[in-house]
Amino acid sequence: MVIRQVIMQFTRALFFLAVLVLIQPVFLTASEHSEHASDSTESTQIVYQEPAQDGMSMKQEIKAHIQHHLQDGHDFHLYTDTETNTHVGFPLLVILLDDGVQVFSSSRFHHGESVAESNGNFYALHHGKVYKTDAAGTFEMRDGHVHNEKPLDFSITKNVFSIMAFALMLILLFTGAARSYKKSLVPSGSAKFLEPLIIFVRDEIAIPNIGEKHYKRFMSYLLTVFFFIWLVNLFGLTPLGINVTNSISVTFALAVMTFVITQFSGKKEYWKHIFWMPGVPVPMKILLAPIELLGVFIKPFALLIRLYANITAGHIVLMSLIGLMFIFHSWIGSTLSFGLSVFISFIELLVAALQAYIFTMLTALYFGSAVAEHEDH
Amino acid sequence: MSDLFKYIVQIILVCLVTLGVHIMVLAFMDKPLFDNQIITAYAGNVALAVLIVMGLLKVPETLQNSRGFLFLLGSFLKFGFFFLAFYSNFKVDGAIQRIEFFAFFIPYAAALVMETKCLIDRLSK
Repeated sequence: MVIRQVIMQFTRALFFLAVLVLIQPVFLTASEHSEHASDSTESTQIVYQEPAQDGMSMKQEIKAHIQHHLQDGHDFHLYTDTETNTHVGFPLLVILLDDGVQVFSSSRFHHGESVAESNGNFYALHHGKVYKTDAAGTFEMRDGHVHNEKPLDFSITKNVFSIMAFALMLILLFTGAARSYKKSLVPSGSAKFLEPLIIFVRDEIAIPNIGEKHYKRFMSYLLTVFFFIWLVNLFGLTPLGINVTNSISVTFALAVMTFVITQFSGKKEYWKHIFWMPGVPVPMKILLAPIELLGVFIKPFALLIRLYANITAGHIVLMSLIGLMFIFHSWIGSTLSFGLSVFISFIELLVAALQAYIFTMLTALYFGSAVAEHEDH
Repeated sequence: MSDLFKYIVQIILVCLVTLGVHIMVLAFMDKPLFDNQIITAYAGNVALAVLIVMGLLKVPETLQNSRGFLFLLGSFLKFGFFFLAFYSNFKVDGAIQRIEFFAFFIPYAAALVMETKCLIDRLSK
């Protein structure tokens, strides 16, 4: 019965995922990569042209492939046949706030090779970002940076689409599990798999870190975060090219939610321990206050960087090892790099779960410190 | 004398003394005394500090535990004030000079200390 309540609570709390989807585009602009042009000349104008793939060395091609894999995109690109220049994938919705709302299919960009027109405005892609251009797709380059106007981008990018798909997947999975408990308290179907994991989050993460008295109101968020991160990390290891937690805007949004919930749940004792630490001499209290206040921001910052860096590093290492197979061109080198990439893939399976566990555990720890009822030392 | 009035007087006094010292240091360094929106910075920070202290003292019984959260919201409000009123003016020449930074930061820090004192008093009660 308790498990059923928890699952029902969890399904309601998928609301958090909806919040994540809604606020993610806002952070997209915050996670821009620095865009460098090949030539940094003063006040030059370049006309948009197809990125030159020809003449690339194998190493450069592998590097470009890894960078492309790590970036978010305006279409769901699965595979490109470079010989026939055919792309396999599907377009997504581009939504721009510029001269009203501009909505069109990303297929108009032709994978960044064309200028898209919408209501008399012209847009082109540069390093995966949408810029306003003229009909010829002219980019104004200064100091190696694009200086064209950049419309506010609320597009359904590959990451946004993936988050929606995973949210839907989790809703279906957990409503199915919750429904099964109506028939019998013995778990059946997906509940057989989910029940031990939910109990694990409750008994090994929530209760020890938050305490019996307060853990229930945080369970919905903890379960959402745990299953969401785990699922997207696992799908990041498939050849679909999904990299949700590899986007700093996503981990930033998750950390912001943890930060807001922690601070809003903070009791008087929590704030007292930050601003006027009990049980220490007054000069020490004055010294500790700014350090503790800084810690309030550093904790969620560490949370977002840890998840982002671990997943990004894993993807880079794995793709580099796969790339080595093409560089070695020898049976021993290629076999070794293949073996190593298989080994690292298994390690990444562990990392996917481990990062979900660490994020959830630390979140629970912060919640626990916010609601703890301290005895003054 | 009510607590609110006491805190408002303290904030104004502390900021006036800080402004006096600030102007003296600028005069000693042969810098222009009232440039870089220094008066706006002091007036704005005092006004925001009074607003935050009012929020901390008048918070309803049900939100007593959220005083720290209100304090943080106040800090975000001040960042907003800085970006709206100062940042673009300071960045006109491409970079924020040290003298421009301190024109905002010193009154900010003085007001912050008084807000923190108010918060600590409330938390210790």
